[in-house]
Amino acid sequence: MKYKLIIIGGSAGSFQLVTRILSKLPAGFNIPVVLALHRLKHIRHGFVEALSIKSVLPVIEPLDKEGLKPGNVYLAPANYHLYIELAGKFALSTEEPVNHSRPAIDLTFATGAYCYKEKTVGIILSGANRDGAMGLKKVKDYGGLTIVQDPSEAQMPTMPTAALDKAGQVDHILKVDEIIRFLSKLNP
Amino acid sequence: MNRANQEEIEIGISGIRKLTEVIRKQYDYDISVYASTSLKRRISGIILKNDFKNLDGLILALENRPQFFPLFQLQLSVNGTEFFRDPAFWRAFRDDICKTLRNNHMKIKIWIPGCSTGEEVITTAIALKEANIYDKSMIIATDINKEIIEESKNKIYTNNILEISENNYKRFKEDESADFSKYCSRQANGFAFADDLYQNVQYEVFKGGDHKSIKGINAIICRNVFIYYTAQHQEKLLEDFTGKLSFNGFLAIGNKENITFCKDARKYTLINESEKIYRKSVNE
Repeated sequence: MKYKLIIIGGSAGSFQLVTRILSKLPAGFNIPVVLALHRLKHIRHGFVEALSIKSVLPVIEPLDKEGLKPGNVYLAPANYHLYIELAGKFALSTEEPVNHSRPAIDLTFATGAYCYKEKTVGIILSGANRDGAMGLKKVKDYGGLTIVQDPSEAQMPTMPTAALDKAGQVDHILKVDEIIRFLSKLNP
Repeated sequence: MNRANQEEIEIGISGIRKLTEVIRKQYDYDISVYASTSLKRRISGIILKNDFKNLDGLILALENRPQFFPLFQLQLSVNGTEFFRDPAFWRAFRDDICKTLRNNHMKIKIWIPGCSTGEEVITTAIALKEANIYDKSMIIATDINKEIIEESKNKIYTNNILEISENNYKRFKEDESADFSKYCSRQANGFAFADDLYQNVQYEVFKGGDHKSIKGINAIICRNVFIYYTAQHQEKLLEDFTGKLSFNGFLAIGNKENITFCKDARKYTLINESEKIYRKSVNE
């Protein structure tokens, strides 16, 4: 199997999309999925639960130094940056916000791409700022696969558009249903 | 060239090794204990901030300009960015920790290791004051870094963290009209806190090992410090804490931090799961 890591970044307008994607990922989906989604910093509870309702796979907020396991969906916890480290483990950080965001999508993408190189899939969904653009470029620079939600479909096209501007030629510009079909095919 | 907005400089493993070696040799300071991703980000930030060309430029400066090292250390540490971070934790501090410690006949000793720029220290002082036990408390605030300790004493904080802190404080009090600014005095370039909040705070440089006042501690507040260390060093830190904490003493770590894989974790009982508050459950 080619890919070892799927990272999805999103902000305003992405919650429904992520829910839809998670509802279609089959049990036993054998690539870890990491969600870097902007969220309110002071609301720590409820997001995992909301995403779990329709998800077949367990959705978890990782603890510091927890290992990535296939079959799990990981959500960046509130008010922390979520890094992926070389040993296939998460690391958390309270360093200053990036793009006014903590978690910052850029950082999860950049660290994941650095570790998993061409085995990384990076997906940028709807959002109202430019976070994630640099991160997606890193995925591309390291030879990973880059997917951007079709801005014409995104409720907030700023983030997908910024990602397209920054990363240049991406592998796929897809509607969410196509993203779902694409991901399903990754699972052998 | 304006590099302020430039992206991170990528630093490879061999570069980090070289830097680690130079700093160990010349300054007897070990950066290999730090978790790699945040360490690399900090170093990249230092290179950009000080206008070095690349990692070799930084290494050269550290080799040839010892006077640069304190600034390097200062910029390497991760600063706190708000008071009353995680209001729910501070409610648990008030309701779980302060309520128990109130019955202490002796002085209450609270240790804040890795206190950085003092946000947790001031927050603790305010929470103790509001619980009416500040007068019989001593807060020992330590950091490995002398520069940061000096800076933390009666520090002037920048205004951009005031609004976050005011909102945190309202959430802590669960009262929209709660007023954090009553503790602050406006300064020309930010805000400061009144002297009495520092009165029972003892700032110390601490690099590990035995220390005359850091023992018999009733509570250790150490939130979001473990995350900046490697798993191996986390193990050592926890062992050090166990030795300094009194029986039944409290240990608070960040809500997404994790000590369960440390050997010494079995000496603790988790008393508040969502706020990660432990009590030392062995008498040794």
